[in-house]
Formats: sequence, C-alpha cells, structure tokens
Amino acid sequence: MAPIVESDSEDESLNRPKKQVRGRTSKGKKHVRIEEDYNEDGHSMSEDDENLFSEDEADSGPSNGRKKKKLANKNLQGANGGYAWEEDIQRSWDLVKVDDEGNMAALVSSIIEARKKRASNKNLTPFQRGIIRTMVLVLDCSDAMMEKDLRPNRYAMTIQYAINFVHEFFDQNPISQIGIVCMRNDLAQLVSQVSGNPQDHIDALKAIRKQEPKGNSSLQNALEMARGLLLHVPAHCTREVLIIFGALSSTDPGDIHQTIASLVQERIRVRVIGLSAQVAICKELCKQTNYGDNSFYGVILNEVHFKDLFAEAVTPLPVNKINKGFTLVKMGFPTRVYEDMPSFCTCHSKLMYGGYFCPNCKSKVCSLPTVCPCCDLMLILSTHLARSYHHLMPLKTFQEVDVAETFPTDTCYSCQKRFPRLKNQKTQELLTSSRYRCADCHQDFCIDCDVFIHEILHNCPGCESQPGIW
Amino acid sequence: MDAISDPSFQNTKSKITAVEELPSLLTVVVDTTPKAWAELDRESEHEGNLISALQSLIVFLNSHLTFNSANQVAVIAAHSSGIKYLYPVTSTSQDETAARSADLSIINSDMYRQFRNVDETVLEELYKLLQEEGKREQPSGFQKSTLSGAMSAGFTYINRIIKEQSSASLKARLMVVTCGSSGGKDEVFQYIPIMNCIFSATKLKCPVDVVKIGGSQESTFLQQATDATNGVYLHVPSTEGLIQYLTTAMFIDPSLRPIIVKPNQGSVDFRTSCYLTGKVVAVGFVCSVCLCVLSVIPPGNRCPACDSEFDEHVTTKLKKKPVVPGMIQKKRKRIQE
Amino acid sequence: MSSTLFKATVTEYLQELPAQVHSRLYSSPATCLAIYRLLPKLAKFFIMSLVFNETDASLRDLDRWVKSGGKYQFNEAIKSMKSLHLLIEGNSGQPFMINLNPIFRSSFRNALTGGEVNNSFGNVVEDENETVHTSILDQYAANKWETILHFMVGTPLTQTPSRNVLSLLQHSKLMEESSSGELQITNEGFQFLLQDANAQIWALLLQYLRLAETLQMDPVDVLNFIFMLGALELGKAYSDTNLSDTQKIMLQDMRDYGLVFQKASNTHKFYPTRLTAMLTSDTSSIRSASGAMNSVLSQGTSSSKEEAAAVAETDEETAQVGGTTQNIPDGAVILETNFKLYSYSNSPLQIAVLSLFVHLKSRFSNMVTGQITRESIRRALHNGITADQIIAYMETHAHPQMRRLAEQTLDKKMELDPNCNEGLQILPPTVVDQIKLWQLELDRIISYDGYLFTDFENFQEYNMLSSYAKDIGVLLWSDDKKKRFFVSQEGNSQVIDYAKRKLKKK
Repeated sequence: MAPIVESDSEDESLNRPKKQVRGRTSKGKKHVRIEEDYNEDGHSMSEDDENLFSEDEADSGPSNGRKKKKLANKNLQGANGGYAWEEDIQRSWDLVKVDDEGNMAALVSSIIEARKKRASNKNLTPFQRGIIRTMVLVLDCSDAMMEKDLRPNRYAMTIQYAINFVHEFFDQNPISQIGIVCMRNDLAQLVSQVSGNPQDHIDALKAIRKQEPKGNSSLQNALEMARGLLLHVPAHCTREVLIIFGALSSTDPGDIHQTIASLVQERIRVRVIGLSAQVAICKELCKQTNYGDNSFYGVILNEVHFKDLFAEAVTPLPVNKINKGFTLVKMGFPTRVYEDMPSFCTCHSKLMYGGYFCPNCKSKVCSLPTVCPCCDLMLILSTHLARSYHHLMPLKTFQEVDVAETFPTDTCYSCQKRFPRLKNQKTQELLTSSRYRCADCHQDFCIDCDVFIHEILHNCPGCESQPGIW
Repeated sequence: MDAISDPSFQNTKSKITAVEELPSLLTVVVDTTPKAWAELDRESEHEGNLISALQSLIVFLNSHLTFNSANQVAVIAAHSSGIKYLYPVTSTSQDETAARSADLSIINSDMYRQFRNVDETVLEELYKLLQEEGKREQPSGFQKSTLSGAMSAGFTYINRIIKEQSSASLKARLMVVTCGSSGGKDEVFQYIPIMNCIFSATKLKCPVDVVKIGGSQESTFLQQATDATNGVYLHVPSTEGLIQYLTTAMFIDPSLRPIIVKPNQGSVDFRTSCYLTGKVVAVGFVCSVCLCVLSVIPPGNRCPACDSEFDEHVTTKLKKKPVVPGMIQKKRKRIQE
Repeated sequence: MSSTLFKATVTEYLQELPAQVHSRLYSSPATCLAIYRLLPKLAKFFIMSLVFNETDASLRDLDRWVKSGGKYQFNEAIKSMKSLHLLIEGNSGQPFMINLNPIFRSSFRNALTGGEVNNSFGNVVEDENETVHTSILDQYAANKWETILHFMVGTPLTQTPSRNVLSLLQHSKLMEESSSGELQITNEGFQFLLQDANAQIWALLLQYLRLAETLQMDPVDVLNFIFMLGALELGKAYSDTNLSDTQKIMLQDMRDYGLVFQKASNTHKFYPTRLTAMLTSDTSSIRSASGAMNSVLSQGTSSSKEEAAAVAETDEETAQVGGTTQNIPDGAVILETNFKLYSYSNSPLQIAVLSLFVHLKSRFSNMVTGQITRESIRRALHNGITADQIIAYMETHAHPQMRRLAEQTLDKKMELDPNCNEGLQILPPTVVDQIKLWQLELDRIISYDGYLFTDFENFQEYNMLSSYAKDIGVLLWSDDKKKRFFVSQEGNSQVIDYAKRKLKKK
C-alpha cells in the first residue's frame, strides 16, 4: 500500500487510483519536476497494480476484470504514455533545471512542497488516542539483512534507526514501555525486557550490533513471543507490535493464521515495515489485527522513507471504536527529596542521595516513571503526562498567505526575521509570500518558526500572547 | 614505526582548545503587566519597583555583553495585551523614532558603544510600550498572563539565531523576570503552554532561569521549568540588591554550568491538583483518554473532562477496599465480652 | 587558535608588569573591560560576582562553588587573577580572605553602569557634513595592511611602508637586513604570515609596546590607548582633544599600520577602521570581521561602494532561500584526503601565502586549486615554517562545511563510545600525519655528545663495563665484535668511576 498516509480513514485504498490519474496529467506539462513525487507515483502505481490484481482475482467476473485491468494498465503508464520502465533514466541533477524562470523556481517549489508534505501528513482531528502504550519491537536478524541496498547494510541501518526510535518514543510517550525481540536462526530471541527505561534498551541494541545476522526469520515465533510479553499488560494500555521485516518469506513451526487469530482476540495491533518487497502474509497480518485498515503495512522506498515510517510509529494510535478500553488508571505522584546521607533505592539497591518517595508505601525509587517495586503502583510526574497533551490537542496548521501587493507586516511575529522577497527573475513577481498565518490570532510567521512551532513547541506564540484567546 | 610514536604526533591541542570560549545568547523575558507591579508596590510600600528592577536588569545585560565580545542579547516584554520585542528591534519601527521622546538621561552618552546601543534601545522601546498601555482602555474581565507567549516567542528567536550561525556552537539561555504573587488560579490555564515551553527548552538544550521578585508563594510551574532544564530559580524578597543576585547566581554561562554549583532549590512540588476538587493529589486516578487527574472516582462512571465512559469492572475493582482478615472475629469477641 | 595565541601573549606581557603599573592601568574603564575579556571563563565569573559585593570573600567559599570536575580551571583562574593583581588580600587580615582590587572594582562598575567614564571610551564628534563611509575606511586599512604584508612576502610593490614600520619590522626580527642591504624575511616572519590578521596586529602592537619602553613613552598610556581603540565603534569620528601627548604620537603611528584613518586636512579627528574593531574581539567575530576585511581586500579598488551596496542587497535576498545563510569567509580552504586543496579566495595576498606551502595548479575567477606535495612542504619547512603552523593555518581557514562535517563525525563517535575524548578533527588525519611525517624526514641525523670506549684488552673487561653502562641506562651504542661502546655525556663519570674501582682491584 502506498506509504503516504494522509488520514486514518479506512477507505483510502479505493480512492487512491483516481487521485493519481488526475495528478499525472497535470504534471506532464511542467518543466520542473519534483523528484519525490514522481518516484512515488511510479512506485505506488506499481504497488496499487498488485492490489488491484489481487482483489480482482478474488471477487470479479471476466468483464469486470477487463475494465479493472485497463485501469491498472493506465496506472502503470508514465507521463509519456509508455510504461515506467520504458522512460528515460531520471537523473537527480537533471531535475534542478535552470528554466526561463531561473533556478529559484526549483528551490522554492521544493521547499514549499516539503513543508506542505509535513503539514499534510499530520492528522489534525483530535482523536482519542491510547496514551499508555506497551510496544514490542521485533527486528529481523536473518540473512536478508546483509543486503547492501541500505548503507552500510540493512542491519546496521536498522539498528541505528531503532536506537533513534527508542529515544523518540520515550520522548513522546514517557509513560509507555518497550520490549525488543530479534528473529534469528529461525528462532525469536529476547533482546531486552519490557521496561520503561530507555537506556537499557539502547545498551541492548548496541550490544546486538556486533552480532551478525544469520539464518531465516520466523514470523510466528516472534509473534508468539510478543504475545507472551504482552500477556499480563493491564487493560488500559494499548498493546502494539512493530516488526521490521527484511526477508521475503517466513519459516514457521505451525499455522500462522491461528497465531493471527489469537492476536486479534487479545487486541494486539501489529505494524510492519517491510524492507524489500510486499509480502502477502504481512499484509494480511496488519489488516486483520487493525480491523481492516490497510495502512499499517509500509514498504520502504529509500532511507528517508524508512525514517518516516519509523516516525509514524511514534505517535499514539487512535483508539478504535471496537476496542473501548477507557479506564481510570490509579497512579501515584511522588515528591522529590534531597538527602544529606545516601540511602538505598528499592528498584536497584543502589546507594544514592535523594530520590522520590512513593506516596503509597513510602519506599524510595531513583528515577521516574517507574512501577513501584513494593506496592505495584505506577509512579509518574505530572510533566510526563503533560508531554502527551499535544497529541490529544494538536495545533492547527498555519495557512499560507496569498501573494498580494502589500502585506500588513514585514517581519515574523515570533522571531522578528524579515520575510524574504522571492521574486521570479523574469517577471519580478513574488513567487510566494513566505508568510504563514495562524487561524486564531491572525499573526504571520516565517517558515522556520512554522516548522519549529509545529514540531517542537506545539503552542502558537501569537495565541498565547493575546489574553483574549484561550 | 617509531616515527609515528614521535611526540610531535601527540595531539597537543587539548589544552589550547579548552581555552577557546563560545559565545552565548541571553534572552530575557520581562513580565511588565502593570497590575502585578502595582501590587508589589503596594505590598512593599515602596514606589517605583519596576524602575529599580529595570536598572539592575540593564546593568546585568551589560555584564553579559562584557563576558564575551560575541555575546548577544534579546529582551522581550510580556505586557497585559501581548508581547513586544524590546531588543533587537526591527528597522521599520526604528524609522518612526526620529524624535526620541524618552528620558534617556540615566544613560551616560560616553559609555561603551556596544552597551549604549542596547541600553538605549531597551529604554526607548519600554517607554513607548508604557505610553501605549496608558492610552489603551482597560478591558474588563479576566486576563490571562502572556508570559507563556513571550517564552514561546523567545524560543523561536533562539531557534532562528542558532540556525543562522554557521558554526553550530552558540549556547543559548532564557531568563524570566517576574514579580508578584500571581500564583493561584490563573496558572491552571497556562499549565499546558508552559509545559510545552519546558519540553522545547530541553530539546534546544537551553536552560531556563527564573527570578521572582516579591510575593509570598512560589510559582510552581516556573520552578518545575528551571528544575527540568538545569536552570536556577531565585525568589527575591525585594528589588533592593537585585543586581547582586543577578551577577552572582544568574550569571552562570551555559558553558560553565557543568562546573559551577547552582543554588539548591530544595524540594520542588511536582504534584498536580485534582480536576474536580482542586486538592493537591498524591495518589490519584488518571483518565486514559484525556489524561486528567482525579482524586476520587467520579459518580456516574464518566470522566468530567472528556465525557468518556469507564469500564464497569475496573471501577468496581478500584472502589474495593482492602480486606483485612482477622479483625472481624476479634470484634465479635470483644462485643461478646 | 590565533585568538588564544594573542591572548596568551598579551596576558604574559601584562603579567610581567609590576603592581603599580597595574593600579594605574585599572583607572581607565576601557582597559578594565579589555583585560576582563582576556581572562579565562571562570575568572570572569568570579570577578563579576565580586564586583558588586563589598565584603571580603573566603577562598574556600569560592573553591566550594566549583564542582570537583573543574578544579583545574579553578586553579588556573585564581592564578591568572592573582598575577594581574586583581585579587588582593582582604582587609580583615584573616588568612585566605580575598577581595577585588578596589581601583579595578570602581572603574569596572563605571564601565558597566555608565558612570564616570572620563573619555576612556573616546569622545564622539557628531558632524553631519563629513561622514566617512565605511568602505573608504576599509579600503584604507586594507591598503596599508596589505602593503606591509606584501612587502614581507616580497612581491614587487609601488608603495613601501613608512620608515617607522620598517624599523619596527626589523626590531621584531620579522625581517632582517641581508648582505645586499635590503630587508629580507626571516623564519619568524614566515610564521607571522601564516597567522590570523588579529594575531598579526597584536604581535606588531606588542613589539611597539616594547619599543615604546625604550623610547621612554609611558607604557600605561600606550596600553590605555590601545585598549580604547579596541572599544571604539566603526565608522564614527572621534576627537583627540583628550588624549595625552604620548597618545597623540601613537595616533600617527597607528595611521601607518592602517588602524586609524585621518583625513589630511583635519588632524583633530580620527576614524577607527575594521582592524581596530578586531583588536579585543573573540574568535567568531574575528572570523566574520576578517572575512569582511578580506572581502574588501579582494574587491580591489574599483568602485567598491556600489559593489558593496549591491552585494549586500543580493546577499539578503539570495541568502534567505533555502533557509541557510552561509557567509563563506574569504580564503576558505577545503582540503581533501587526496591532498588536493581548494581555496575560495581572490586576493593576491592569500594566494601568495598559500603558495608558500602548496603547489598551486590553477586559478579561477573565484578560487584557486592546488595540491600539497612533498616538494611544496619541504620548501616551506626549509624556510622555517613548522608543520604545526601549516596545520593551524589550514584549520583556522577551513571552510565551514568541513567544520560541520567534523562536528557531525565527532557526535557520532561520542554516541558509540561516550568515553572517547578525541578532539575535533577538521582536516583529514591522513594529510595531517603525512605533513608531520615529511617534517620528520628532515631530521635524519640525531647527534649525541658523549664518550667512546675502545681498545679493551679482552672480552670480559668489555663485557663488564658495557653491561654496567647498560644497567645504569647510559649506554647509547655498542659493538661486540669490535669491543667498543659509546656512553652519553652525563653517564660518563659514573662509568669511569666503576671502571677505576674494578680495574684497580685487578
């Protein structure tokens, strides 16, 4: 399935081919091509083709098949009417052409496209999301990971991205937990236990970096192990599995469909990132465990896309109507103390100065968030809860201001930077106003502030500084 | 290969690079809401607290600029109707100030040029700001504090300056000067924005220092802010001697923070308050959907903030009290006797 | 780095001065500011905290203020402050109580708060009619400075620097009179050329200071004037009414170096140039200032005003597309692992300096390319330039892209192994090591002074003495067949004593 996920609705797959047909014809005319879009069109068209064919075989008669085949063929054809592989080789440096408009056009449009893509990728409707998550990360350590299509090889890059993922995951979801499993030699091996301490996981990942991947990968074993790890997770946490799958087959000791059925029963949601090509069993796995949503299986196109797919897994999943797990969770908010004499902490038995006292049983723990080892109460700070607020109430995107003769302000509201005047060299018109306006407070911001506000800050300085707006 | 082990191959740069100093950016957010300062004047029975605080602040800015000739400064004022950059000013507003209306006599015109530019601009802009405030009519009703907006703008400015430096080695820090006993109710509404500011500060690796003048209560959110970002929180009883506090405790450059001992805050209260009752909560229930904290299980099994229904089983389990065996029999025995 | 070099030399000079001179120096706020900026970070911090504090502080309190990891910096800071007589014994007489030098404290406070400044920062003369454009100042400074440097390198020039400058160069041993009566550049001169503009100015100024002492000019006045120059703002006119006589003489000399500009008609006003602004600055502003300086140098004499204005505008526009504003400093050098060097520079001076150790191959409109070869490095080494200086020069002029790349690789290394404490490797290590190896090649012979022992009667005698010499570690060479061995000079007496003892018994 095409990797651009624009929203979480479940009917995307049927809409997709129509959109692309429209896009293709208009793009054929412009000189300047944006590399990413074109490639994605090319690839996704072929993927869609697969989908259409499989659906065709399942349920349609001969006449329907012919119609759909024509549509499928059309998708495969590139802009010039031939198949994608019949086109000339696209070289990346050809794309930045010096047109009659001047070189600026390519640069400017690529910046704008990049920004729009970032904006459109976010889902802005405030879904109810599962904030307290338990995720099992399954890494493929089979022979297929020694391929060198990702530098230096798939395995090294996967481990690196996994370390970054662990950092970001705990940054965005401080009260969640992760466990790591690897598939090696037809077995599933536990790399690190389910816990909320990021340092443990990162050390474990660094340790298995030195191990060479070997053997075949076994999906069923990994899923069974994940099931075991997620067995005793309480009902208010979401249970998730993220599989990085680099091979093209899976050697299993039993019937994987039974495993899938039990996963569905236990409400475990699986997300797969494929590194080489689409594998039917993965597709079915994702579809069934996610209530028919096809968008949880992604196959990477390049390194950047790999990173993007990983980053998608960081945001909390919206809660499905079927899976109503709303509960109240009992939690403790400890107070921090400073001590003159060091004393032992109950979680590691280490001597340390100061720490936090559990309000229930008054035992000392050294770091938060954690589960109190004596009374099993989840201990957190209010800051950890606050970190997840921006998922629940996301900030609206800023609208780009249309090009006009004059503008109300010359500088960005929050950083005081002057807005650049990007002119079309020939016609001396402004290509873009470079101003992005917030819908609530009507202040203009520059693009750097826009990106910073939406990705890191999550509150609009304009709205915050006007006392009337909440 | 004895040649390679020759001492000329040793890296002799370690000592020299330790001396090279990195410039830093100081962003000051000043809370200039007249209401708060007026309250402070009333409490301390001393007029003109804002002026004396600003005097100390200007000297502090000068001392920051002395520390390293490449240091930069930015000042943002958070007043009752918005935020305003006191320094640096953009050139559009500078064109309008052909006639300097402010009384700049407190600045010696023979001063070091670099200081003078900054000081004069700050004073000029502040004067204009206060004049505008006086002209504007006072809106009725409850006004929220614009401090979080000023802090957010400060962070975007820091982000921009860091991007503009070609050699990624600028350290930044943010200082907040606030006053009065503005703790209490209005802070509840600003919790989320200030939390977002704290998280972006940790991402930018920018420490947040706070100076609170006067007032009886501590500002818990700002305390949490300094604690999370490795900053300094100082509660000063009055503006007298403010310059001493500023040049000792608040002067710690980010590059010196690893080796200088900061003033200790004592215990910071991280506990939050219940959504329903308003009491401070040590053990509470958290709704898994909207993350609001409650101290009691709400009646009707519905979350007051997001109106989502809770599972029956779980709530009954939570309501159960622990059973203590053996007490019942003893009680019976005592009654019988 | 050049900034630390000049700091080190200036602080050394200042520390040599006696206490009274220090006291007189501190009465001027500009000097206090400049000296403050020369101190290490921790010292600056302590001074700032003591400035507004009248009471004594105990050294132990200051000690406790610093965590255990910073003890080395703490000792350095205290040492530097004491040697400059900033910290003096406290009034209360108890041991380890220290206080800030009161003269320094009052003038520093004045500098910060804008109190009585007493013309220490110069008197600005506001004159609307005769404003001098900064480009004229830059051109003037560039002209004068380049003349001096070109003269040193030996390119044929139309103007030669003035006699004072020449005598200064001779005194400082940067150039010497050769047999034919002309001035030729020395080894130190070559090293001087490779330094940053800021370090060069300071080197010359320090020489001037030393000369001044012999000429009976008051060093305090001279220092005050130099530091005042560093605090002046570019482009404004200053009047010389409040300068002392010594300082007025200095003004004339400074004109020859290109540090100030005076219109010939009115000798009562002077304008500081960009070179003075760099005097008390730190590294990053030096880079930008010298970059601006060099960009002026490279533009030559043709209508620089319009060009400068046009360049500034288009810079603003084009710089903001893509989001990253990069000021590539003029003379930025990119060094590849295959020893090829690319320098984005157009000024003949830069190219001349590069040609000292690089074999330049081609020249384009905005850059020159060349290769570092064995011959080119040997040529430089023969002229007296050391490998370290060549490496330091390339590092200071490294392109910002190379610096960023080095920072990124260092971050990655730290991630993998947090205990690794390698520094920032801006230049490829292969090239750096190779340059050092080429330098080592020149040291082919090492000579030791010592004594040769020969003509032994039998093998046992030889063996006994040589093994004794080996045991006490003074044996440098021995040849068993010919029964000879060589002993270092220091150990000779011991071996002879031993021999006398042993052989006497026989």
